[in-house]
Amino acid sequence: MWPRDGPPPACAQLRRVNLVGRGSWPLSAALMLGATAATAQPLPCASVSAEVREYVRQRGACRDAKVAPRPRASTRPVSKVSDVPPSAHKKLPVPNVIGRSSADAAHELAGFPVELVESASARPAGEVLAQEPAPATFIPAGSTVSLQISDGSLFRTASTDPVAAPAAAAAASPPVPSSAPEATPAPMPPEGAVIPPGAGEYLPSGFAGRTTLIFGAGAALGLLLGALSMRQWLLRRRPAIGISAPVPTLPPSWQPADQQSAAQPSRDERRASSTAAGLPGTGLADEIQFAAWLVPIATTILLAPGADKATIRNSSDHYA
Amino acid sequence: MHSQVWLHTPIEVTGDDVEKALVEQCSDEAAIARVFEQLRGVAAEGAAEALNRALDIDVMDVLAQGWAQVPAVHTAVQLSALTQAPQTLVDLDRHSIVSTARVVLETRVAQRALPPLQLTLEISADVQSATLAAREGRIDLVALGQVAILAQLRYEDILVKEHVTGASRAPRDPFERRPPEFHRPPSVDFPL
Repeated sequence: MWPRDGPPPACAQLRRVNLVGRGSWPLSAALMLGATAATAQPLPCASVSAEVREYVRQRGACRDAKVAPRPRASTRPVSKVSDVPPSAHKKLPVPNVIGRSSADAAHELAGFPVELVESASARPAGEVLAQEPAPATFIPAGSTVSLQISDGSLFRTASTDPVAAPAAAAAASPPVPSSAPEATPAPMPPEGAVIPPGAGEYLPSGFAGRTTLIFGAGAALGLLLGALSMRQWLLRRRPAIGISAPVPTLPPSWQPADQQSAAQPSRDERRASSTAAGLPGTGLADEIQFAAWLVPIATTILLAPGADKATIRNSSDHYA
Repeated sequence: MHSQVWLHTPIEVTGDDVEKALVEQCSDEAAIARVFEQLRGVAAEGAAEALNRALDIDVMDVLAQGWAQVPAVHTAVQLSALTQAPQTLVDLDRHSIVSTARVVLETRVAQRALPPLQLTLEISADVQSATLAAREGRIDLVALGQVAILAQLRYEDILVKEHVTGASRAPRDPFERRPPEFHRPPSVDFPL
């Protein structure tokens, strides 16, 4: 961990934030408890004047208001964690804290009173679901920002998955250079930006769920393949275990010629009938019958010139 | 009548010839066009076999129909039929006989008759010489010179098949005993 006599280093904060963002609530809670137990109880940041609050917060000398206890109602306002005198009229952009943990969101929204509203969700507990006003909206300093956070009541997959949690913890610890300025707030990702897992403090929501889904699909596929292999093995051992399966029989035309019965038409005959019909296997060619006959119409004879007079003689002359 | 004249090569149509005629018939008969695919191939060959059986004609019949129109032959045959005169011989020099016949091919698919395919067979015989005998109302071929046969099978005006061959008088066994007169059918039947 980190030295007990000083504020937690930036890498520890980042790791904690990432774990919260990925839904490993017990582990992140332990880290948070360890951090708070190791340091002296700082003053609430709300009790510090606004001029020096940011500096004091960066030094770790003050703490933001704790997250409200777990709600019992589905959706209800929980608490106001900070307050800013309404005298400030400077307009500031509202950072995007959707998808972050409530603690991180409170840190990001320094200068704005934050109102937390818990609601039932499948997201990890403490994750910001929505914010009002919308991100990047310029509002006067001191305006209240309402955050809708998840109570984790519907979140089951990541917290109960023994495989996804260590994997998420390992992936959520990106190397942070030691020369990074201490307590420098992490840059806010632009709206709609896609940051790969492990690249920073922000992880897309549902990453652990997808990992679990992939593992689940792989396990189901393995079970299916195993079942198919078992079925094949059982079919091969059909007589021994008494499982009967229909044995496919080859069509007569596929069987060897010596095994075909004499009543079966030959392959050529079947092919001829099918080809003639144009419809394989219908045998329609057998129903096509042809009959032809000849009808004489006329016969003419043309005698060559000079041969128009046939020579007629008696047979006695011919034989003579 | 025993075949006295035989063709050197018979008139034979093939499946392709039948398909060619059927293609032409498809333009005239929609019923043929609908089943044309079923009539191709082996079915067309079956139709060609039926046509060849019909075309297996005795050339002597064709020639005798022409010879009977020669006045000298006609008179001799009449005299031989009416009188007990001795057998009369008629010599014919070079002449041509053209015989036209209609060849009808009837097709039934699944007991349903299709429009018949009607072809025209025209046989032209160029005979160098012939010697005929008129006896008892019949024409017998005594001697036959060189004969060239041209057979044309048409569907309307489209030539489907053309066959050129020769014809010869069938050799006769000189020691063959002639059957009794009452068993011998007439050679040519024509009105007297």
